[in-house]
Amino acid sequence: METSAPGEERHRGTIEVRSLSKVYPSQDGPVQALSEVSFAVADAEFVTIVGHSGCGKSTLLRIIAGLLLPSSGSVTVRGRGVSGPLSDVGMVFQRPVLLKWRTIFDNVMLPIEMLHLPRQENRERALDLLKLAGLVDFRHHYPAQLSGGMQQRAAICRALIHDPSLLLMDEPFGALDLMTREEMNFELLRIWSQRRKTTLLVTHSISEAVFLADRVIVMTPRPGMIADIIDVKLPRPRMPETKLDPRFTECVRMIGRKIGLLYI
Amino acid sequence: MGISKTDIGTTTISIIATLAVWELLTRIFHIPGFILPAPSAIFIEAVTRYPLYLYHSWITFYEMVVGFLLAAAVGVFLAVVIVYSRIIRNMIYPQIVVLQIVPKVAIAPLLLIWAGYGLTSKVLLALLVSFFPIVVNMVTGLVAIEEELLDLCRILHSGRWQEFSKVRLPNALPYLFSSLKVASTLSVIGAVIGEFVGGNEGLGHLIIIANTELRTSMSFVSLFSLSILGFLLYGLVILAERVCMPWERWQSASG
Ligand SMILES: Nc1ncnc2c1ncn2[C@@H]1O[C@H](COP(=O)(O)OP(=O)(O)OP(=O)(O)O)[C@@H](O)[C@H]1O
Ligand SMILES: [Mg+2]
Repeated sequence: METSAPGEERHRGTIEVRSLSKVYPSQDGPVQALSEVSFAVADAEFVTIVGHSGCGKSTLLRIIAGLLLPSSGSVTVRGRGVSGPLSDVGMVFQRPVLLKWRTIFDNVMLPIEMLHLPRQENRERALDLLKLAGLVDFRHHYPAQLSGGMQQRAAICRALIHDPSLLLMDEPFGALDLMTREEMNFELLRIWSQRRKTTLLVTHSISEAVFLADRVIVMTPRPGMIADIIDVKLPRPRMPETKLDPRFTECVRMIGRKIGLLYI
Repeated sequence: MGISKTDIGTTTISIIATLAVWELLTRIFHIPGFILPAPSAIFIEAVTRYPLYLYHSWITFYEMVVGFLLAAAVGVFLAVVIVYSRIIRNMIYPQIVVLQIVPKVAIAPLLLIWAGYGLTSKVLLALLVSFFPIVVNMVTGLVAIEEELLDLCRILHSGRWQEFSKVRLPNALPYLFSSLKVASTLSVIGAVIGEFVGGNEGLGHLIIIANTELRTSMSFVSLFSLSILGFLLYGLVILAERVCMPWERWQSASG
């Protein structure tokens, strides 16, 4: 582990990815998933990643979380090199993956138990989060009694309960229908505006990427490289009307063109 | 799976109809009692000699329940060991499979030599017959965890014990219980095989006696008693399942 850089406060929540590459060994030769990926995420920034299936988005998130080692390059989080799983991370996956034998409340409390944090104080936090996500009335229900969207909101609460400085989301709404998905985008932004976390979110939907983000990272097909990083200059809080803003449509069209061109 | 009143009604009617046809056939065709006794004759045999059947049922039930519980304990233990230690897995898996392939009826005489003609040999047979599905299912349940959940455990620095107790073990419960249902019915077979081969107690022993004396109604009462015992143990497993997995009620509802 590197020692922390001077002025660590300034770096709080900052992710720095430097010339990251990942090669998977496989039966038909090595697969290059990521190639020379570099970018930085500022504190409390919301960054989204778009790119074609198989371009290494999940790989990138797992490396940042310390779940996977890169083949070369490095990741620093708050000035410290990442060399193993980070507990300072909240992770949300494409599927809610709640523990089906635990109630929603107990699911949200799982990180508290596993990290041996004080239970009593965090009960309040859990209730607050569930309130924020509109799930307090369902806290004693089992996951199977909730809709997919509600389960995913519970998974977001679980990711936030131990107050991590990073929130990593891998296509969190990919399994939801379009209407629920748009609703969830608002919910997420509402939660995010109250607990400003440095957030990295992977999505297949360009309009979702633009709607949520301060910046959008566009990746090339395999091997995943950074094609472009686009600043989204749209005011917050984002509203349904935001999607009618010409700047929004222009941004979506530009990214679409970029990805389309990459595909040819 | 809800059971409605109509379900119970149709089942009852069907049972009564079967018994009635059976009774009629034996009377119309004058079938001798030692070939196929009438339901009424079987009923009379059961009622007049119920202390005998109760006693031997108790013996068999004891053997199968103890054998079954041991099978559950051994099965779960072996599964955990197999999942957590590659070396031990390589060492014991082949033996377990071979043990399962060898017909238990063929081992029974050996077991009698080693464990005697008393209850122990029967308990061991019930154990041997029923532990295999428990091991296999339990291993599956401990291993079939979503990749994302294991990632979550690592991020939360859960350690092996918490990963086991909070994720793997509860995840394995449905697998365990479905194997326990199978094992509960197998344990009856184990106990009866043991009683067939040697000993002087239990329903299996009664069936042997009934056969040599051509008292077929006695065989039938023993058979019915065996089915009741099997049902009883099966029912107890389902009851335990309901108690241990309250959340399962909602699984099937949501599809
Ligand atoms: N464990 C692995 N072993 C070998 N190859 C892998 C492994 N995991 C991923 N890959 C390969 O690496 C590439 C990137 O995978 P990754 O899952 O990161 O893509 P992705 O961008 O998340 O795709 P999607 O949008 O479909 O989720 C893919 O081509 C995949 O086949
Ligand atoms: Mg992916």
